[in-house]
Amino acid sequence: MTGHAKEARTEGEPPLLELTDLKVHFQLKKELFQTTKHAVKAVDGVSLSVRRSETLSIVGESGCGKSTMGRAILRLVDPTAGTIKLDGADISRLSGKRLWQHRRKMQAVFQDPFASLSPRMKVGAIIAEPLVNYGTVTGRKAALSRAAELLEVVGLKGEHASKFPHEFSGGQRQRIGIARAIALNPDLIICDEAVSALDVSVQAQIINLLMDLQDEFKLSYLFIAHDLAVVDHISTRVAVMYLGRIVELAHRDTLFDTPKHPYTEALLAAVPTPDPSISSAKAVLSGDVPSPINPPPGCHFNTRCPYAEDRCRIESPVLREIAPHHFVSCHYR
Amino acid sequence: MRQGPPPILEMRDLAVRFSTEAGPVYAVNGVSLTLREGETLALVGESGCGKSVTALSILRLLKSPPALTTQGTISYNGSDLLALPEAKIRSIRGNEVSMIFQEPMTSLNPVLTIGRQITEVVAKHRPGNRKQARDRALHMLDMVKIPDVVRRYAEYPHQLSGGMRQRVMIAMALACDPKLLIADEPTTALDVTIQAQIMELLLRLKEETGTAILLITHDLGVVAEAAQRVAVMYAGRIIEEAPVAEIFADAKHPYTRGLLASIPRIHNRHTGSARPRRLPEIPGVVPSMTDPPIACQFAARCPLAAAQCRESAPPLRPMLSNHAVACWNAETAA
Repeated sequence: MTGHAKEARTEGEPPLLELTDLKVHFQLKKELFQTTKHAVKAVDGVSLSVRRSETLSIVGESGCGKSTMGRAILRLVDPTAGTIKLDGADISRLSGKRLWQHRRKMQAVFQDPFASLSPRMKVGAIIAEPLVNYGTVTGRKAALSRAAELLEVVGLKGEHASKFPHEFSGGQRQRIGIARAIALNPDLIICDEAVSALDVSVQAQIINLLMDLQDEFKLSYLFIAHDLAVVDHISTRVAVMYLGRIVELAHRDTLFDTPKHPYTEALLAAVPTPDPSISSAKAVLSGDVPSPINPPPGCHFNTRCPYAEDRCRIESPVLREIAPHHFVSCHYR
Repeated sequence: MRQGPPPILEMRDLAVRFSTEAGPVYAVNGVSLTLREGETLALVGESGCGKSVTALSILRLLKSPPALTTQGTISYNGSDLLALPEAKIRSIRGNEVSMIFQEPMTSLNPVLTIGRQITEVVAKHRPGNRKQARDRALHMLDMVKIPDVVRRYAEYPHQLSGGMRQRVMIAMALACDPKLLIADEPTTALDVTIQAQIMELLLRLKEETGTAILLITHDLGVVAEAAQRVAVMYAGRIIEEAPVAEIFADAKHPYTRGLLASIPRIHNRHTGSARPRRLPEIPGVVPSMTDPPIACQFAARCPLAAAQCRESAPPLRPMLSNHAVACWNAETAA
């Protein structure tokens, strides 16, 4: 089955995750003599959906809001506005027991495998914790034996369950984090820079593992990353974020082969190619990403855009579908 | 034989050991490197392979203890840097040989203005008065394309973005016209569009000043774009060294080949296919560096490993005129 056929099949189904105009603003403390409160608009009106069994990647540079968006979906930070629908249910305002019931459908794998595993718990207990918590197995013993099975699924050994996280390498720890994430048979896994801290030879192992698990367990991934080569390899669709907004969203092949937004073009051009026979003459984007506290009016990208015109400095472009399933937020594309 | 400009730095058989609570860690085990005038040599490898320790040894920036240089020489300009008195090495550091690091925030002094920090380097190493040093600092800031230099001169590091701070580091490192610049992961902490700016700047300045660069990095994309020669390190040793085009087109060592195969690349997929191709992976993990290496350190992960590989470590030997490999099976691999 081709990717497009698969897409067509899943298009009729309701999406697994649906964000509508999601905003996450962080209020800053009011300084002396300051009359208005400033806010960091980390996520500023994002709408997108993740279909079943697909990998939707979110790419962008530091501070573009991609991680905050992931944390808002997991409800680790509260959304300021907008809705988050998971499997048809709006979870954006839920709390306590009701949120807990929905949360098992989504899990997370984070960047730093050293910080995301408790150093005082044995690996078996780390993986068994969600199982016990949600009562999917009865008894500690059953939970631990399931944990040992899960370790095998992610390419480690069952007997590793009795070791502590510090006894493992970075790549092995990431496998442990993945075992914990799939323990409850979730539908969605949010991977926040899940392979960024790993060396390339180990990174390849983890990317392959994530793809194998997706096939085996019909997982959907929201894959937050800054490495475009990894994203090109793993994604079904890709969304590019800049200063809290999505500037382009398309099928992986479309985005990499025919990018339309000037920022996407610049991002792709900036990636160094591991092939010295390809000349590296490229248009380097000038300047830095502006502060998200005071983003430029109009199109957020106008300060760095080589094609910016007066209209871009006044009017914010909306994300519109310029070709089937290809969304771009630019006045001139 | 290799021809070209005369060497400016020759490292011979360097070994560095760290004493830790868990016992000695053999970080660098017999590394030899030659850097020629005006060339860019990339030292690549994964975390813990010893590339940064090798780089830090040149200017004697490793804290001792725990670090101990157990053998080797690093000859620069006719003298052994490892044997020079501290005062002499200080006159070379930041002057003839300078260094930039990954995280510019931690390498700049947070309580001094950036202008003062550059001026200080110039005043220490170059003849002339304070005014001339200040002019030189302003000139350098201009050269690394910091906008509005007079205002920026009086600013503190925290007022600058990450990319700007790395520009300041480069301005400082090049202020005394060094013969050699050691760049340790100079763009790793930066976003990709800023990385492109910094690499473009480094390469342009290299053209203008003729400085030789020792580029330490794990990013093979950066290597392909910036280096002339590449030395690949694994577990404290150089396992392959060749001109950049040859490393990418015709790597001989199984580790180099595995490394190159495992990088995800843009547009290296079957367009339109349902599933992306699996990435070739190097099985296993990097060996622990607490045991002194006797055999080939890559043997446990190597698809070509034979009995000999588990008994003795292969030396780095030339295969072609300018391509050296440390592998017993390199011929069969080719």
